[in-house]
Amino acid sequence: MTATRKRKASGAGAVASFPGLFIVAGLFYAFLYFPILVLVAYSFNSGKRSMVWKGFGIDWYGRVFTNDAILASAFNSLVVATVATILSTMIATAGALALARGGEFKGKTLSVGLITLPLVVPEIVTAVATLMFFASIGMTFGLGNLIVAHTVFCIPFAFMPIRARLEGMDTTMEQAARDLYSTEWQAFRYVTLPLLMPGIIAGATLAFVISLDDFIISLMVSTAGTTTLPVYIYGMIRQGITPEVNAVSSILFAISLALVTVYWFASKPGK
Amino acid sequence: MSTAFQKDPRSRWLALSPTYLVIAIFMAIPLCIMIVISFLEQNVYGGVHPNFTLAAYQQILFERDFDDNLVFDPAYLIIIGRSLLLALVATLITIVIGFPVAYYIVRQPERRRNLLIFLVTIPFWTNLLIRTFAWLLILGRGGILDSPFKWVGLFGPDDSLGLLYTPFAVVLGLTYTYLPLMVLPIYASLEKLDFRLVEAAADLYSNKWSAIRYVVVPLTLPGIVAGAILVFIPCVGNFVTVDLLGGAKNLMLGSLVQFQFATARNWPFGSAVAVILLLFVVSNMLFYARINKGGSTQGHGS
Amino acid sequence: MADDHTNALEVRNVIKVYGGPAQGVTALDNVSLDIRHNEFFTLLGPSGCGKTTLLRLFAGFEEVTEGEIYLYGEEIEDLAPHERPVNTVFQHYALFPHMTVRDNIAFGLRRLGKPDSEIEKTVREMLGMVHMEDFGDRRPTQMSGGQMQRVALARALAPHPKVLLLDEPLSALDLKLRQAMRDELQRLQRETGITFVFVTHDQDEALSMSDRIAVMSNGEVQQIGGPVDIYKRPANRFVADFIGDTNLIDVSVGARTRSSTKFRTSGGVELAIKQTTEHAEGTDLSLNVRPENVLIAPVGKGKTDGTLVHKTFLGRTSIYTVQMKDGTELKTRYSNQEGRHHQTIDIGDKVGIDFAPNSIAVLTS
Repeated sequence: MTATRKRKASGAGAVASFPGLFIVAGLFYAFLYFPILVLVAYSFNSGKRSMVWKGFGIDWYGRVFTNDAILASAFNSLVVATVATILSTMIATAGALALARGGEFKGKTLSVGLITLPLVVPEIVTAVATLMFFASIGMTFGLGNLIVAHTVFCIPFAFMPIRARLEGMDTTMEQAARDLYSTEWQAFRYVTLPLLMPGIIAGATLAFVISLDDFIISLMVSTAGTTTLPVYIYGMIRQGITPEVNAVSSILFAISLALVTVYWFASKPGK
Repeated sequence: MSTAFQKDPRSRWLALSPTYLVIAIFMAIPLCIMIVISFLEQNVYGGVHPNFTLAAYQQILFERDFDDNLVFDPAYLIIIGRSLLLALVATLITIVIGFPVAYYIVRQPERRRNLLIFLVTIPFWTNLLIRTFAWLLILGRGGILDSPFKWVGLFGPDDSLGLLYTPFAVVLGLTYTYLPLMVLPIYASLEKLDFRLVEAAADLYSNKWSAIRYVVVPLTLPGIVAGAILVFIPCVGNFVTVDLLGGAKNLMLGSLVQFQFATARNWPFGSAVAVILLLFVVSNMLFYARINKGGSTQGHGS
Repeated sequence: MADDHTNALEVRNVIKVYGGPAQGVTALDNVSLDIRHNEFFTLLGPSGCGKTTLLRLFAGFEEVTEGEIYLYGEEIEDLAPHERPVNTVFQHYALFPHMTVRDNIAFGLRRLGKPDSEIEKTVREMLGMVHMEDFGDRRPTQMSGGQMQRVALARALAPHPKVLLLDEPLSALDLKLRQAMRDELQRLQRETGITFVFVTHDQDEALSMSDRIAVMSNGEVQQIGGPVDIYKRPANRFVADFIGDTNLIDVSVGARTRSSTKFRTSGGVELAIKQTTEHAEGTDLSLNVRPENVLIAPVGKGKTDGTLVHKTFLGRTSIYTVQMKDGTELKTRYSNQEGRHHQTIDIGDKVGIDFAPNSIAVLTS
């Protein structure tokens, strides 16, 4: 019956609606994903030159998994990301608990500011400052240097979802646990921690993604033997683009995508 | 009932201490050292001599000629100017694109809204290097944008639009990289906007453009400013995009810093440029804090 | 201004369905009504009855699914909100938080492109009219609910709309303020001579302020009439039940004489009422009698006998609940003026039950 009614003018019911906006939004999403699609498409190019399409093939993926240098740098990336994630998540969880459950106290704003410092300072500045610091104190632990640097900038990323989860959590459940004869530790162990788990998983995932994808700090801090995957990819791009870069980049993208999806579902409230 | 963290300040600080320790030692102290180094003398083999000098800052404005006289040299000022200009252009473009996109998303039903926001965040969490590299495939010689011309026969094998290594490519790359950082805060403030105010504007004889101009934009200004700062700061300090898409001709502050450490081995000068970058960040943050303070007294009691 | 013979608003067969035609929710089901020039008209009903939807159709925030709406003879249902010379006072005021009171009131006039001198003059007039002269430079966020309410009124009246729409504007105020604002609204309506369309779920508000009321339920208009009309002669059970306290007795028509009718309850109690009815013997219907018209009489002296089962003291009045022999309970309201005999009746006492003359309305639906 709606369709049969003839409108004499347009406008009723359409308060501040812009029907053409979906075109802008569509173009925006196309712009956002077009380069990634191009990259993935080219990674299946069987030709030798990365920009000339020669037919579908997965040869370059095979090459990636037999390239020792790529595998070694991927291993470095995994080690750094795993250790930095564990460290930063533990540190961030303790910090978030103190800040979200500690009431109002002097130094709270300062603490939050300090935690978010790595987000505010441009990465290149952090990178060179860290480089000079390690050189000045003569710290040369190889991957250890990288792990420390990564832990620092992973803390705020792990911190944010954990704190958000804590602040969205009802403290009455902890009170109920205490009422039901739990010690403070038992209340934390059996009530707070399980409820907080999605936030911790979200924070850890985010920290892992950020560490895995980090390039600038790794570029400045890593040495010959401690190249991470993004640094190695950068070197490949500098030497000239080969389809191998497309393949290894697509793999890294797929891993990030999977992890971000995990994060997205873990950080959804009400689960 | 209060938690142990509330009752006992010591346990609170104990829980916070690892955070303080790690960030203070490995972030705050290095930044301080960097500031100190910017005032020291360069050691040509890398590192520094522990002598105080303003040479690094002088180098930004002046050059020593053959007679060891200081001569004004705008080369680095041009780089600073270019950084600010390209960052500003990219920021404005992200506002022009980001606002309508955020507005579109916020008017969708909730389920679709969440999906659309998720799609905005995905590129942000994926590798910056890879996303920038993808533009090489599009803009580069023989890339996607050149191919139609080749098929038609307009271009020979060595012809190209020549888009790569231009300021255009840098702005495009910066816009592409930081667009999500503009959409998200604008979306957040639009989501908080009471759309009954838009109805009130329409009821009071505003067409939809005046409703946007007089009600929606003023009320979402904090989100727009937050987005502008979130985009502008990393644009100025950007290294990857400028390095891959700008080439040597379009050096910006971030790449200048990297160059001083990776190639020129001039720590004090690199540090001085990094300090200038930091100053931009700090001034932006202060500006934002001031705006927010003004906004919060306005919004008091609502 | 249009002449008095033209209605301010005419609603013709309006249907509003939310969602798709297949699984849509019908908010308004074939509504037709007229709102006269210069009257205080109220749309009254429980939440979800369609009253707010109808108001939003007047304002232009929603589009009709079918039907027409005329404003002083001009068809408006497809015009955008800013093209209609009507203004709205919103439920939660919807004042612009980033503007001063003055700028809020001037907003509509500015969009209409009025000259600055006229805007300034009108804003000053409006501030005076709602007694907010000293608040022009304040922001709405620094004001109390009552003050925001006045600004919202001034803002909506400033462009001098042909009809002012008020969407439950008093619901966010506390009781004392609400009662003061009722008088204020009536005064403003008389002073400005603008037609007011007022939406509320509060029957007291509707009865005390309106020239006429449309009682709505389930997307339909149940009855339109003056406050007294609606209270004393409700058109159906819904209206009787929704407006004020009442007793609804299910009966069937029994033996009829020239001047009276016997009604029989389902439990077998016979009530002989001095009232004629056109309904045939055996017809099922309801008797509506307000508690103030149920009278307690000595045993055997009323229409029937019963027992007092409950007393509720309410201050000025008391509610006594009496039970007829078939178990039907009737509420009766008495003034607590000193010296009334029934104050001595206790729960469990036998009483007679009578009705005030001509106080019973016969309802068929």
